[in-house]
Amino acid sequence: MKKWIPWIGWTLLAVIVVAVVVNVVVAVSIPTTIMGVTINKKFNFPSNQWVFQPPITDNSTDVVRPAPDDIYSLLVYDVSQHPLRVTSATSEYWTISAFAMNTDNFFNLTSSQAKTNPVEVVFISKGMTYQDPTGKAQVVTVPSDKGILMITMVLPNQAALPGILQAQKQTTAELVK
Amino acid sequence: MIDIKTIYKVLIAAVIALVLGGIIGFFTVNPVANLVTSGSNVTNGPWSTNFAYGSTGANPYVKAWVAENGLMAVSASLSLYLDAYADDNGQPLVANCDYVIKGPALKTGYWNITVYNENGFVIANAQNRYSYSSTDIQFEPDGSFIIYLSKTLKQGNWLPTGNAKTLNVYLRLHDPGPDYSNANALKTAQLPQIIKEGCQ
Repeated sequence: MKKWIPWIGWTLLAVIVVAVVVNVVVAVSIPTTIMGVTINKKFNFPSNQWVFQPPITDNSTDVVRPAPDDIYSLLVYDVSQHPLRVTSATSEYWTISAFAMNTDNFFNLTSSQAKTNPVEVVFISKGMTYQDPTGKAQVVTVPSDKGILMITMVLPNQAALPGILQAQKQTTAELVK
Repeated sequence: MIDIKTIYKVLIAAVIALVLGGIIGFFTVNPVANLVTSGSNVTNGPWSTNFAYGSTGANPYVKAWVAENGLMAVSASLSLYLDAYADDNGQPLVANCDYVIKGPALKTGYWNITVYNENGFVIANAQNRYSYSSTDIQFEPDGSFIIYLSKTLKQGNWLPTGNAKTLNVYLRLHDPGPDYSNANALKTAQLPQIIKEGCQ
């Protein structure tokens, strides 16, 4: 038995090392995995096209804890081949947010920060350069070629809904070729 | 010269380490993520948040937790999300109890309070009322507010809890002001109370 003790000790140590490594690797991979499942299965949208979400109701189960006062527009971006120009009319509490494949929220712009209305933002891949001919667009380099854009427009009250939905429909996205 | 018995022992040890270590490592990810996230949370009464939500510099375990529990959380400088799963006495929020959320005038551009069921979704009700915000709530004369959480009709600001089992209340502060901009400020800020009134 005594000669087994060192083996048991070393094996336990190896179990711990493997457990720690697996733990960290899995934790690091969870955000990208969940984003991938969300994009490919839950959303299943064509890339680079806005999908205008209807107001949140008790049937809204795409994402957990949606804000009922927010009107969402979602877009799966893919700038691997070309930059993507996004244009959106703003409302009083309006935000565009960009999420990389590892879920990092790498870009936000609010209506109070926007210099123009409508707002223009061009998303480009790392390694690309882009000179906006209009001089109005904000150019943003993305950390991952694929990810999600989300425009949030706060609905201050139900009476504002038609105006908000109309502004939402003016949001556009086009690849710059 | 290594004998064959030693080689067998090493192989067996390696297999045990890989299988057992792999299983333990995999199934402890969520408990570790919960522990790390809750350990870095900032709390104030029943409210809890984490300034690392949505942050590019967040710990991998916090990112994993956020991906599972609040995908597409924006950074705290844009919107701060505070959640409450218990009342002011630390008792879990359950739908067969009535609660009052009593809030001071919140110093932020815009805020809303939403109640979710145990699955993280808004609660079905005939009134289609899922939240109150700074723009549609009835305020008290002094600028404070009262929201009732209950299955039964209440006069004033009432969030029906319908057929939910447990509740989760979210306070969203958009464009949070200096009173909520960092952990130290948030710990001492005046935030809404959640008071149990009674249970059915």
